[in-house]
Amino acid sequence: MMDALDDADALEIERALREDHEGLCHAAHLPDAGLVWWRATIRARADAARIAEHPIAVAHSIAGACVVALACALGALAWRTMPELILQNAVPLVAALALCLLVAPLAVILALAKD
Amino acid sequence: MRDLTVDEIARLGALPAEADEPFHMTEEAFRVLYERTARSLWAYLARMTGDARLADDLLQETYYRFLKSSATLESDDHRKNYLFRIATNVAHDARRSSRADGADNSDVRAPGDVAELAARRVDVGRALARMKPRDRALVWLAYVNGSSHKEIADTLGLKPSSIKLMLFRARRRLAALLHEGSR
Repeated sequence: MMDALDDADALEIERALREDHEGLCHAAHLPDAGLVWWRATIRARADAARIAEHPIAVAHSIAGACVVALACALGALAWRTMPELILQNAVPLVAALALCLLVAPLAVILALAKD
Repeated sequence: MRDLTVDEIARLGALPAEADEPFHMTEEAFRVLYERTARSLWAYLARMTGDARLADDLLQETYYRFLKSSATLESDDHRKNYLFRIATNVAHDARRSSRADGADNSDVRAPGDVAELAARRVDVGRALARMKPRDRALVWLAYVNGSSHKEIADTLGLKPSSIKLMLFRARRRLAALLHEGSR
């Protein structure tokens, strides 16, 4: 008795689901295969470009850190070897440093804009 | 996914030649596969998510993941099953992210021109929406796709030996919901 009921359920469900599926398939407004392919290609290229650019960004960061470290090291060396000279020319040195800090980001922005 | 700008698309056009064929199949082969599977896959996604618009997006995502995969698939049936496995994961991801966003995906489109059929489809859609996602996928794969227990297990990442019982319970649940809805 239970088996018969279960079979009836199974048949009813199968029929309902198939009707539902057919109705959905019939009404689906699908994009053309070419459009799906084109979008996938564009996205794959974007992903490839992002992956390719990642090591470059890392290298830029490392190079920037190296430049800052080198500048600090040179500054410390200069301070140790000739502190009087630095103190005498403190104003022009600070001005030059400030100018560099202003100009460097502008140069980076201009270089990237050209690319 | 963020839309690409015109500049970005132009830049992508200048990528090296190896980026020209980023997939393991040709466009022609893809077209054949798409024509054979897209409608059925869209219907599956629409019912798994309960949202026709979301199904449009997820269809694109499913084919993208399929094209990017390096799985070796010998036959059309293998390819179809693999597509449905990806679609299951994609729908699962979408459900998780919509839960995180607090979005309501209850927009079940009921297309069609015959009122009775449309009403019946809405009933089925509502009943399926009230089931657990895994049970929904189980009954759909079994009764619409006609997948074997092993194929269902592969698609849903379950043990083949547990499918029979799970399917039995899911079917019972759907039958009860359909009867409830028709009263």
